[in-house]
Amino acid sequence: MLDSVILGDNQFFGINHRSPDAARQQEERFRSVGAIGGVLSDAYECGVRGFMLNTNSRAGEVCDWIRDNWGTRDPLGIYASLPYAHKYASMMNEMGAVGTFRELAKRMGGGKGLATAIGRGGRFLVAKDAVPLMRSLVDAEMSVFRGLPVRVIFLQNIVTDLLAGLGLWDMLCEYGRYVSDSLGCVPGFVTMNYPMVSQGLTQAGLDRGVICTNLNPVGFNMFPSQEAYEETLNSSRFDVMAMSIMASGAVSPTDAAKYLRQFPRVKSVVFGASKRAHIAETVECLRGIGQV
Amino acid sequence: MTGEKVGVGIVGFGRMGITHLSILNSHPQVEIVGVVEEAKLLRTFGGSALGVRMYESLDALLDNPELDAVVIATPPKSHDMIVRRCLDARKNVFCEKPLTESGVADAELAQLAYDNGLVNQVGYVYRAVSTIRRAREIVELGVLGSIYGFSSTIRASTVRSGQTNESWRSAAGLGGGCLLELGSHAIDLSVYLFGSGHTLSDVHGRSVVSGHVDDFVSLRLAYDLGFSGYVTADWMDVSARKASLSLEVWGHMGRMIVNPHEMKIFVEKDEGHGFPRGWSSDTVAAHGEPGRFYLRGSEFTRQLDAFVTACSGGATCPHACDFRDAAVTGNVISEARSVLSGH
Repeated sequence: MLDSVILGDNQFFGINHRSPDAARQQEERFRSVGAIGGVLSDAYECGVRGFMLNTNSRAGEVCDWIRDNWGTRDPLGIYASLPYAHKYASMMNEMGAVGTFRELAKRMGGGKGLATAIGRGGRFLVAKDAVPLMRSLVDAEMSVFRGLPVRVIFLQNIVTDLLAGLGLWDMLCEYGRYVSDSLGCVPGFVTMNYPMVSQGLTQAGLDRGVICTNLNPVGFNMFPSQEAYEETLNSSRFDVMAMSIMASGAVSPTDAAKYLRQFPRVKSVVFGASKRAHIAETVECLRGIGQV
Repeated sequence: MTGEKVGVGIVGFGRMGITHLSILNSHPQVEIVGVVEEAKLLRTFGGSALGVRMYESLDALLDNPELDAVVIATPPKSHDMIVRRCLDARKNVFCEKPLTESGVADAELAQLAYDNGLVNQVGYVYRAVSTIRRAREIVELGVLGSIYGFSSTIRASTVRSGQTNESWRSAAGLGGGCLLELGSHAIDLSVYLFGSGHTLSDVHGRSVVSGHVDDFVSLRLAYDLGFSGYVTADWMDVSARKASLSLEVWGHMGRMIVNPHEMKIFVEKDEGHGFPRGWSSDTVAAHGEPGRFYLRGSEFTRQLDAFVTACSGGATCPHACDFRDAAVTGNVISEARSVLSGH
């Protein structure tokens, strides 16, 4: 079962889409991993039992901190999100698309065969190779969490939505099945295009998974429309983890929670905060979400 | 057009090409005719994993009778030749920025597109961002009073020292360099907001880490209307997480600071434009318009959807950058490049 309230990680890594100033201040504040651990502890005391963490360049030290310091408290459920897209974008900038392909195949070991095939000009790089490549990419990214209680493994929206647009629903389902069957976790999909992704995954036959998407009463970053989201929420088979519930500060936590309560499909909320008072306020407002 | 749908081909299957493919493939009025890609590895991948018809040559794509429009996402050096051949074949063209490496060539292509009655658009994607659109509206409404200065800055950490920098972005021979890659956006924003009628001066640029091309460029544009501003592009800013653009405009009655996610405006007096005296944030603009699809932002979809609408006989988007507009930016780029290369 999903934890109903999950702390997000953007605020720890200087990611603030709205304000570069706030991003700089947060990056400074969380330079030491202990400061991140302090917020995790505060969140725990406020009742939070889940933490969403992207496999970014600092994920390793955060996981080490949890392993070393969490002690006998109830475990903090990890909601992993991958890939660390920024890393691949930088690779594309550095070596172009072909170079990136080759480098990944080499690093993943993707079987020696795959690397050799790519080396020969991709003569053998066909659809069936894409699946083992995806699996080894997932394994490599997940290694950082070893020993921690991972509940869901989310595919980041940049990948979910790219594949959705390309119509590669089978690939998304392969990912889902790999996470369920081989890794024993719940597969998750972060998306900015929830109605399309929910429908596509359903039609492709995926029967288990969580969709994480923006959901707020002002329709902020809900594509193609708030109405389409609401219709899908009432008909979709997948549980939903809501994000951006306060629409970058345009909605109060009380109003956000009131809106979410209309939809029994919403089982969970992920939110970003770094001040204890904010965490406590948000958790209080969201009490009861997911238990409808 | 194949029935009600616009038949689109994509040239170049790198990072932008695949983004455009995903966006267009999800458009209900678009039929993907095929993708042209030189690299065999990417062609094999596209054909087998994505099930897209892959072409080795542009000619083969252009021969497909179902083709109405071409989206070009190859390195800048190749744009001139590819666009010209598409226009000669009477296909509508969307080309990634910059249109070509020369303002003269840009203007020729604009004329050719006009003569053949073809839709023509360049991927200056910031024009599809709602805060940037709002900024132009504010300038046009005169909210800031008489404008006397501006700055248009874009920073990224595209190249870093110690990297191999093998991509075309760092290759002068393929149309790489910070001026063409990022500076073109910052110059285009000045064209989008204030139009043409400027003179260029104070061009500076340096190659620091790439070793082959300019990594930092700044220049000044002085408008005939009596104001001027600085354009800065820097793609070796180690502090930049991803490309970040910021625009500031000063007028005798106010000032605005705009980035793709946020707009702040200061006005000296409430003149009934909806801004109270002092600083305020335009949250409507910051929250953006709804859109059909979101991939790497909603703006990439918004600009391509505008192109598809125009190709199917609908209205031309007033914000889109056509080849004529791109030629204004192209002239600035050409002139700046000749200063930088010492000619």
